[in-house]
Amino acid sequence: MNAITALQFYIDKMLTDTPGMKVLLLDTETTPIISMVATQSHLLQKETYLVDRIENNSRDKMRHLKCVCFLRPTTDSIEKLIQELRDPCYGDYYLYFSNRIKKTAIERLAEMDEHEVVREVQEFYADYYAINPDCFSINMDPETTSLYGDSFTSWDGTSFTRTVDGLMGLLLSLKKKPLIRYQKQSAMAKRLATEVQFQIQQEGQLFDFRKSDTPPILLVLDRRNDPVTPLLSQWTYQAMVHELIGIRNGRVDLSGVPDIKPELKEIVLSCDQDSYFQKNMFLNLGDLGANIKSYVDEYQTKTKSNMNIESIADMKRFVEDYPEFRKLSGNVSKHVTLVGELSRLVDQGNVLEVSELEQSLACSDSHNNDLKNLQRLISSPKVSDASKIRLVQLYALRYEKFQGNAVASLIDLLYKNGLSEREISTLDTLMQYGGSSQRQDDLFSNESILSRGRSALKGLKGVENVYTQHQPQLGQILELLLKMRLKEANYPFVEGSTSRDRPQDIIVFMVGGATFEEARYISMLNATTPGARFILGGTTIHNSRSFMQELVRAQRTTIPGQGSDSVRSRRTQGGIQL
Amino acid sequence: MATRSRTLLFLQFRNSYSGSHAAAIRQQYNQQQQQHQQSSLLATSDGYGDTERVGLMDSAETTIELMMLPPKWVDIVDEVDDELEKIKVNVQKLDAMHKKHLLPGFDDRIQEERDIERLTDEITQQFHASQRRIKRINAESRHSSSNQEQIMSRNVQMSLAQKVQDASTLFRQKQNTYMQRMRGVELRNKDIFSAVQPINSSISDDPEEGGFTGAQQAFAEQSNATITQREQEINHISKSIFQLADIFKDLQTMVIDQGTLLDRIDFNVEQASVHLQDAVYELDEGEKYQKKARNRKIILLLILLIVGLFIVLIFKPRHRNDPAPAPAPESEKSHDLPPSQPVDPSVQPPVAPPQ
Repeated sequence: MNAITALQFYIDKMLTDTPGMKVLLLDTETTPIISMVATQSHLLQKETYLVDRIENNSRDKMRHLKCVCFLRPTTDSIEKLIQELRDPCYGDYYLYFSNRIKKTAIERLAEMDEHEVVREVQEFYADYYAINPDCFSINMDPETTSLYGDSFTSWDGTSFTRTVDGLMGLLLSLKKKPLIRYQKQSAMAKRLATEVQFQIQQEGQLFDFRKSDTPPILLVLDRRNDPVTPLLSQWTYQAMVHELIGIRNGRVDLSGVPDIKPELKEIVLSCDQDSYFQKNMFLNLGDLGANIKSYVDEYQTKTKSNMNIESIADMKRFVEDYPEFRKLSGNVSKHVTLVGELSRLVDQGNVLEVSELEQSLACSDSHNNDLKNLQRLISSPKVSDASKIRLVQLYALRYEKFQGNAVASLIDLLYKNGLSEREISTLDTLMQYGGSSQRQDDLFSNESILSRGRSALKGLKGVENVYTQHQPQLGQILELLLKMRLKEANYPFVEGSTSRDRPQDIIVFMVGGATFEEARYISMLNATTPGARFILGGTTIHNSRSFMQELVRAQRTTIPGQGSDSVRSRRTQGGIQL
Repeated sequence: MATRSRTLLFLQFRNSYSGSHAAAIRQQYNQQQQQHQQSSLLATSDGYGDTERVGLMDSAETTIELMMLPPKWVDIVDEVDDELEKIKVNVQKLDAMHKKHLLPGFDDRIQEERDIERLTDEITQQFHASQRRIKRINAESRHSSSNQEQIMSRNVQMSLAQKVQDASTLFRQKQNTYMQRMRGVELRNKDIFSAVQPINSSISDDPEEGGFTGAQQAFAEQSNATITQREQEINHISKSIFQLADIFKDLQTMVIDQGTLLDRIDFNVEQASVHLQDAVYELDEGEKYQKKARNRKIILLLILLIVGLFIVLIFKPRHRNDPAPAPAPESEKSHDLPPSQPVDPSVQPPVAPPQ
């Protein structure tokens, strides 16, 4: 149950199965898939001396090379491959597809292979993006792809097939034939779950794995049930970098940082290749600062010992330690720069204060106090516009059903503070997406007396850290699932298959995108729960920006103009509950 | 980590297609054959020559393309790999010898030490040789014009450098541990001497036991000899370590820094396409410049021509104006004169005499 090693296994296998000097051809999707789990030097070790895109038409002819093609079996890639086979640049071709390839496609390829250069055709199910060992994504960038069809309840066609393919790839690569449960209220989750089930049955032979004692569970959830988590400010390393700067396929763009050195304009954050990051990715900023300091100290002592080279022995030691030292120095400057930038952004955006209010809105029931703070922060010039909107969004979600909430007056206040109508209309979009009528579970534990009592009890215990007290709703669902108390009425199995055993392997898939807060939660759960393994996936990994972007995009493409209209009408009427 | 092979299915399809291809070819061949037979029947020429020609033409179609030949530096990869294999064997041998040498023993060690020395030298030389070879790739690949081949040769260089570096690190570590253990032996020996010396001196005070001292002294001298010998060995080893360090520094510039963006696959692919775009852009620019230069050349030529013509215009007419019209009257004069001259004397004499 490790997404990264599964993909690495595939890559190693395809490169070692073809001995000799070779070139690796990739397409737009397999390039980042491979890049996230393997490095250039790793490929070089396997005698892969050239990596190129299949789309690149100006490749030179080098018939002495073997060619390993690793492609997604999309019509585009197959077309490109056919062109390549008609006029082959290389000697032998070894074709690997990242998913199940249709027979007709194989037939076409065979037909076009007039030079008989193809030696091997294989399916290697590396069709998803492994971020952490227990976290993967389908990488649907809200900037370029739309997840939703006509409304928030229907899939976009291509996104749907991509997601099904990705999930099938994950199941095959981990050798799991799961029982599938889904969130009942979500039409998208249901459709995905039934489709995956259908495909598993179609590919009966492929899924003929050794039976485990208890069948693994694939739990398909919908982001709509918990719109709060992606809106919160984050304080743990990985999540924070994603929230404040943005991680894209393991790369972080630092070119916006003032006075940045040219070699640090873009950096790599990979828990697989960077052991320091792996150790610290789930720590909060405070602990991280302390750790960074000791890291720098370690570096300094090493530099000092390298500085005074007096004897031959010193010199020898220096030469020996040099590669290690170089690596360390690169890594130290990377992390120091990154953490420095994080703390700069925190100061700049007044994130501490904002986050405190966010957590209070998300976790505790104190309307008057929160409202007062909220009004103060909206008027404050130090808080960024995006944070202001986010706070009002959280407030609106939280006190949607509260008699006498002040959403309308807050909207007025936003207008007064110079926010544009387009920005404010996102509030409406969010309420349509994740308002209480759209949610299945009691997100804020305030709907029944029982849950109120529970949350009050929790409040009595006190919190360790004000900024990280929020626990994603995913936590409750998994807790119930482990205790076998997750209601089948709310989370039914597909086609009535049931299981009475406590599940051991649980794959959670979040339609509409997971977050790094949840990824951290899953990782903690993996560490603390003996006998159960979890892996979390999502159509993408969201931060607050990309989350809202996705919603706005869906809104724009489906029902244009409606959002802003309703806000305006509401504003003119004044004081009507959202 | 399930996989599924579709090779068989693919081959099946391909065979069925290539079957139809082959059938088509056969048909073509038959037709040709028939034509030949007809022509041979008509011409009643020797059939053998014709079939032979057909055969030759067929084989010409399937000749090996020149593209199949790898660039020259590919051989270097094999050479370096061979060298590394040899180094590996040698290092193993050396390791065994080190171990044997460090064991206490009574027999003569000089031969052994020489062997170790020789082998160490050999390994260092081998490292040098592989380093030189890796550098040669650079020189060789510079000849090739294609962009991708250059990228590839650079990658090959990197990977070989990495390999050699790994091997050299291993070798250095082995040398180091050996040296430390040698030092340990030396120290132990020194301890023994320092223990021996006082006894020695106390004994030599006693004149009665002089014979004993002689033996002791001989032992001490011998030990001194071994110490200097060891010293030499250690120096020798550190020399070879230094040489390796040189190689190491050299290679370090070629190896990728792991964990940086340079080690990302997608980054490199992007870079390649960026380079390509740059190259295309530069080519375009170059063409533009060339065109411009051509235009300029023409303009310059025209200007020169104009200037030249001007010069011609200024000088030539003057040449003709000054000397030409000038001599013209002169010539007229001279033309006039000669007839007048004969006239003049004829005229003047009659004028003069009256004066």
